[in-house]
Amino acid sequence: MSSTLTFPDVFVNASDALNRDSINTTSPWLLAFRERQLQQLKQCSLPTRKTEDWRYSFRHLKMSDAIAKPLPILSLESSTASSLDDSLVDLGGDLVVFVNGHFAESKSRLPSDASYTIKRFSELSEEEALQVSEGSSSDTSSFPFAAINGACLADGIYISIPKNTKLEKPIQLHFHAEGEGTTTPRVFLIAEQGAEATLVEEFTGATQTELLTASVTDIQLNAQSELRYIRLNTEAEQLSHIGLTQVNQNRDSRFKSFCMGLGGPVRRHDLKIKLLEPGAECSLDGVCITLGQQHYDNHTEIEHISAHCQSDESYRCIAGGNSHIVFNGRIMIHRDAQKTLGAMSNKNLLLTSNAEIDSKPELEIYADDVKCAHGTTIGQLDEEELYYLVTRGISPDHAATILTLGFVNELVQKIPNESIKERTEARLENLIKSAFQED
Amino acid sequence: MLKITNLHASVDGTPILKGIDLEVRPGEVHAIMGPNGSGKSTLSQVLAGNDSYEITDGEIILDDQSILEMPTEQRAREGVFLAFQYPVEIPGVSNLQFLRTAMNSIREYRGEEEIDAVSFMKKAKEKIKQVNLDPAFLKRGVNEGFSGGEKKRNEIMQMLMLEPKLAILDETDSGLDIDALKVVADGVNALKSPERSVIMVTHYQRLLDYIVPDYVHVLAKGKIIKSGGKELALELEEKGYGWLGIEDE
Amino acid sequence: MSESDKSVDELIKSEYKHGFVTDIESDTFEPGLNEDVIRRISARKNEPEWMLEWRLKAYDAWKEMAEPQWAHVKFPQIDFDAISYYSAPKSQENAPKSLDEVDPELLRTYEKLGIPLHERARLAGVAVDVVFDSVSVATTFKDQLAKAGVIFCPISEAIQEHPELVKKYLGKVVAQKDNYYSALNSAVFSDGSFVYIPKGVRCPLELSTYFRINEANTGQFERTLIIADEGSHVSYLEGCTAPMRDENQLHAAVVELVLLDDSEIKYSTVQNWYPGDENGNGGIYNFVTKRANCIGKNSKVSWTQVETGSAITWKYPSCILKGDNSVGEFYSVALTNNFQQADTGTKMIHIGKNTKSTIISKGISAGKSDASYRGLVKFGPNADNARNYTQCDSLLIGDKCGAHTFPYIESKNKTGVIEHEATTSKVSDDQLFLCQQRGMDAERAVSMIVNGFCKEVFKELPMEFAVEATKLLEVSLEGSVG
Repeated sequence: MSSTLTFPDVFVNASDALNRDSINTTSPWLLAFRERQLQQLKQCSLPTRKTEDWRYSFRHLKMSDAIAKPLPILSLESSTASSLDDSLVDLGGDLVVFVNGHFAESKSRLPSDASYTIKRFSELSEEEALQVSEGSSSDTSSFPFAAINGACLADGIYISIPKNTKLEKPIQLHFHAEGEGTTTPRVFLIAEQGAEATLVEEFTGATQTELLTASVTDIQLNAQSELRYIRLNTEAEQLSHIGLTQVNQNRDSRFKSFCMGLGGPVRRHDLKIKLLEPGAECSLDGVCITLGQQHYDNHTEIEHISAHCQSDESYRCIAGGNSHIVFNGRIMIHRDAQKTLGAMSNKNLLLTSNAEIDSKPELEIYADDVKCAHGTTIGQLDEEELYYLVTRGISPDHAATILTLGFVNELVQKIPNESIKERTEARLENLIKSAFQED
Repeated sequence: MLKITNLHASVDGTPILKGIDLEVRPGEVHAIMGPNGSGKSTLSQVLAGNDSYEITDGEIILDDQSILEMPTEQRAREGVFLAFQYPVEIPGVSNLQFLRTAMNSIREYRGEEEIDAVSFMKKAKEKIKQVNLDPAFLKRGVNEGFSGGEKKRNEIMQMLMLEPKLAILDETDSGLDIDALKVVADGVNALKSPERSVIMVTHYQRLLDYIVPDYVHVLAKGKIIKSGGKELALELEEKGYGWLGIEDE
Repeated sequence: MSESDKSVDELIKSEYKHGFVTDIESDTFEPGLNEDVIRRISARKNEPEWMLEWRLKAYDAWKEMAEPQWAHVKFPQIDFDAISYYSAPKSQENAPKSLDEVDPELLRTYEKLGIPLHERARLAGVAVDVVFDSVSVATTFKDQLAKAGVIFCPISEAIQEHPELVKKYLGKVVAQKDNYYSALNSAVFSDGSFVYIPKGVRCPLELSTYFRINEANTGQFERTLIIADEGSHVSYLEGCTAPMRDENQLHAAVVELVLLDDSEIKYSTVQNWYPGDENGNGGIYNFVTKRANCIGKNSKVSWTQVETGSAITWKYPSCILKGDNSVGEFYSVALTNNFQQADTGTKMIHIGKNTKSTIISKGISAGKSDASYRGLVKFGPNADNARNYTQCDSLLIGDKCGAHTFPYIESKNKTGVIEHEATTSKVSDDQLFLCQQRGMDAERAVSMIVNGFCKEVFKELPMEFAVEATKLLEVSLEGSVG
């Protein structure tokens, strides 16, 4: 559509510029990594109406060439840093803050002991660099924004949790962005056998012009490990964000996610799970709300590659104003993935008749001994329930707010962190209130 | 009627039955008791011809012919009925349709005419009442959404309809309250005749208060370690399996 | 391979019973497609100039289009120049005035297919139109229908006799350029059925069309147009078969239904085109566009289909619910076996207020086949209080087949309610064991379970088709699991 973006050329140029500026200060493995991603980027084209994967969202891809440059370097003492301080809620565990793509050491708190490893890509040992190079998402042909991330990558975060290590406190990653341009947050996490941890990724920021976050997170869960993953795509509404999280799960590993999405000019999060070995389980929860002219696209893909794996997914979406929400959930069951259990549920509320919700829950099944089900609903608040509350003296707007909160509450209550849960509840309540005042 | 000699069977290469000898004459009721994991259910499944179990040795003779090579459906047509421990649901297929198809398959094998719709309905309604289920169950999918107790009673209802020569009840009493247990027992007692035999596989003595066995056998680790009259069951109940030197796993 | 797999393979082998070839003299065009071919088709049909122009316009559009690639099916590129676009039994040259003049060989063909055309032997109360290769060869009961004001005739005849109706509605539901195959059909269609039910008339008979492809290397491109005027009602059935041939044959039909205020059309299909052999050789490519436009308020259309044939099926009988309070229904059983592939489903486009739609889709995959459900439910901004309920279930028999579900659910109206449910399961060993323990053989048990699975759809079929559908499933599954 009417994107004036010269793609991929402007990002190829940005990548070249990055190399020119940093060729002497960047480790050789990262240069090689960037180069490989750049080659892939050159093969990419911008999604169009005919790109099945983008059929509902391509029309929101309206960016100009100005976006293809790194964000300015912010002084953490400057006035804008106060918006960082406002948005940064310390969860009390280890904390890594990135501001406009740069590690903000003064705001971060790295682990005091060596119970696990967390460090920047620039600090990796040869062995660790190899893990990242080999374990990172490589198929960017269908996902050009991951290629942008790789080709323009200045730094990233590496996390490795050793065998049988159980981290009680969450690992908190905070990505803050302001100004004009593109930022490319990248995380690589490996949980060794029997390790247990909670990873929180939060994105904040604001802009007066155009800002794109193209994020990539790669997660490798080895046997018996468990990761609770909380992702808060909750930047201010002027920011665009297209992100990818890929998870590879080995035997008996467990992945439990909660993704919260707020709308923007174009927002999309792809969560791709591969259940590679028997006994792996994943449970994906998501809540998404858009207002005004906002857009948000949830893409999930669960690939059952091995037998005896289980997946369970539940996404609830609310669209008000003139906004647009997409849910595209895909469960794919390979030939050998017998005894698979898969369940997917997607429930949607349309608050106005100017909003749009598109849902595409797909099952692709090549094994016979499976039990799979999905259910989708799109609807509005129940008139009788509303009426019931109003007869008890509650104002119609308030009643609608209560019921809408109730619609997502079941998932919010499952967030495995009290502080985030409370914050999410409060935030949802405010947004939903404003949605009903909008009318 | 039924003669089992030196029966060995295994699942996925693991031996479960390790030499069972048992003879059941017409009209007799046998109870097979034993702790969990002793091979009770395996014995029932092997008699019915479930091909998940491999017969590694021994013989099963029904009415003077070996049934080892007979497929499941032929054994059923010869009069072997298994009341399942965990009856499976078949959504979309009504009880009526299911029973009629089963009855006619058996009749066809015996060279008999198909049962006419009127007599079939009459019989079905009569038998469903006998097991104290609402006739509406006849139109529902086989076991679809039935409670545990309803499923068990439905098994007995099927047994009454098909009138088998040899009925094998695989833990039909487990999970039943006392009223349902009586219904099941009444059903079995109603079927008893000098030509028919019953094998009851059970963990508990309770069922035997209502269906009185002629013989009680204790199965442990794949073998019958003790046989006796109905008093053996009472003794077991009182003293526990430990009395025979075996563990309830 | 385990014991039970072996029996799955054995059991799934079934024979196609309509695979004979009728030895009949035909007037068949040379393979190839160009403007001249279209002019010759039009000339054969003695068509007016406007019809030829309409065809040529479609042909021009088709030349610029590309085959759709999005369906979940795989097949080699079709060589459209290797297909003959017209074939008719010779005797048709001097069209028969009554059934007595129909070639006896043809009549015997239909007897073999179990569709007696003779008045004395016909199915009571069903009027039949039969299309053999490219032309309609017989229509029964025309007189009785005419008394009620119902027009039921080959579309080639309607173009001559009722040009005002054809001009008004042809291509209005499925535009020429709607898709690649509809454009092709618009250019080369040679016959099909035409139905007009006048205002307030309840069609006194079930109408039925049987399609038969006989000639080798020909494509069949029939076109059906049914118009239900205000307050009218009709039930229409279609059936299709073809000989067994080693090469694939193309069938690209277009069916258009027009519903005015308060009218109702019930359209049932039992599709049994030759599916190819157990190695995946031969079979019909069934690329069909079927659509109903509920223009009128309170109109109701229902598509019921039982699909067991064709090597590849690509069809999405759809409902455009434009009139307020209009209702669309789609009931489908699609069974694939061996190497068959099916990508089928429906579209429910809700435009008017209080529109309702129901989708019940049952897919059964056996052998090495692949079955996909692809469906669109769309609520436009004006579709206040629209409702949709979708249930789409897949049953798998054997571990080498695939079953896929690709629903597209789009809503732009807050007062609408869409509910979608889908499940996938298999005929389990436990279910089979229970049935066998009660004396049934595996084949009978599978057939019983499959019939139970399809029950909700079968009950929507007209009686005589329901019986045929049940039998068809039994044959197609001829023993299915062990």
